[in-house]
Amino acid sequence: MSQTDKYYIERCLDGHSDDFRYLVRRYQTVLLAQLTGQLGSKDKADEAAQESFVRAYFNLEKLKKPDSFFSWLLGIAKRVTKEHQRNEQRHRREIVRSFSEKVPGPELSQDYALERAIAELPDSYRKLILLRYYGGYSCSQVAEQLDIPLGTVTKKLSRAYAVLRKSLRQQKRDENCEVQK
Amino acid sequence: MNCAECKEHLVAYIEGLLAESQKQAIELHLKSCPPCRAEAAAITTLYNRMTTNGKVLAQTDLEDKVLSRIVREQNLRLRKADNHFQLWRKIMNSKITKLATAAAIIVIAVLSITFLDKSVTPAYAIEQTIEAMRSINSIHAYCTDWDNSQGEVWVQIDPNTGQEEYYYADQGNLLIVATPQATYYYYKDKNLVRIRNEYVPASEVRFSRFFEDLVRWVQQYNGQLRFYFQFDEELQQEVIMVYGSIPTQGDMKEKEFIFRVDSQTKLPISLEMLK
Repeated sequence: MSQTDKYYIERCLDGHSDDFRYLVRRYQTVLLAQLTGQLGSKDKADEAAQESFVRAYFNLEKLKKPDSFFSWLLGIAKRVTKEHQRNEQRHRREIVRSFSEKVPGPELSQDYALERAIAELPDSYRKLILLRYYGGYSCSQVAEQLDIPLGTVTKKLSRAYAVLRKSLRQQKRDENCEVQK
Repeated sequence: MNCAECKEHLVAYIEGLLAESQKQAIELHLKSCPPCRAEAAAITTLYNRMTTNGKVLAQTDLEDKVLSRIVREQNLRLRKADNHFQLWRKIMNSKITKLATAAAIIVIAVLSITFLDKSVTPAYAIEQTIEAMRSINSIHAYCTDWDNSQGEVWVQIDPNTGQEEYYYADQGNLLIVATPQATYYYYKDKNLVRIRNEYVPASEVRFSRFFEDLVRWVQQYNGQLRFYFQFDEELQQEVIMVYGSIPTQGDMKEKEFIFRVDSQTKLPISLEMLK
């Protein structure tokens, strides 16, 4: 599993489709972290992550820079998320129309507040957080993967923490308001 | 060390990236500064919270699920490829949409074709082109794609099935040579050769049955074929123009194309998709 993304991508393109599992293994947690925050439930994130990987596999030939597989995969996941959200909205409208009942919210994951805050981070911060905490990368590996200096990684992490804490505080305030109402 | 300096290096400190002297300076400052100590604690809490969350999410194993979906999807795609409708679409997307010049088609098989007498037969006999194409066992074509990219292809055909057996395709940066045993991809810019131990088809189009497949689709989708003779300035000879159209079908928009057929050999000279 120590080979580069590029190596596994070339193997897949050469017909060794089973090697795609190493890329799944490498990025599944990262993808789940991003998707759970956006879709709300673990099951939906699971489904969307699978869909994103399958789409990535069938479009590998179109990936011009194999070194940027991770960013490319996140882009695919973003599109899949939008589609899922659209479908869900349509589905909800149909339910409301047919039963005129209040639709139950999604079943939340273990730390949905955190995942939602991560999902709302600007792209460049989110990539760092995802790789560092969900991809098991060290700071220097993150620097290498994103091709930025180590000092920039720690500076950006510091800013990302500040944004995350602010967002979590805001969520808590909103929840309290909700309870008081 | 002041508070600003401390905050600047706090993440690097928590991540264990600082040199011993810097580390000690931070620790000294934290001991005497409650706000910075609170900041460090908040970051550590967040750090631990994300690490825990990461561990929970890592328990999910998507590998087998993704792999089995890939296999399922692959099988589905193969089945779909058998469907004529899909085949038609693939033709429209194929690189082989324009067989450029008269010389581009080389017929190795001996053709036995009765010349069409215009005075006797007012309409063009499609059967003759179908028959002529069936006898082709080798094609050399120049292709122009929608984006105007040029390509060149040589194809050896099994006359019994109409399917390609060998091919050589030069698509600018990529050169492909396929034999029944293996397909070789040569990426010119990278000077890299990739080999796949199987025959990878160049196109879903059956070259030697292209015309008859097309005629069948036109009939199947209630389209029209019209024929007329025209003197071709470029070739300096008379050609048969076969104009075809297929009305809109479901999500497929209407199609229009023109075949130019050599009036002597009855072989298509070019195909242009108008819509």
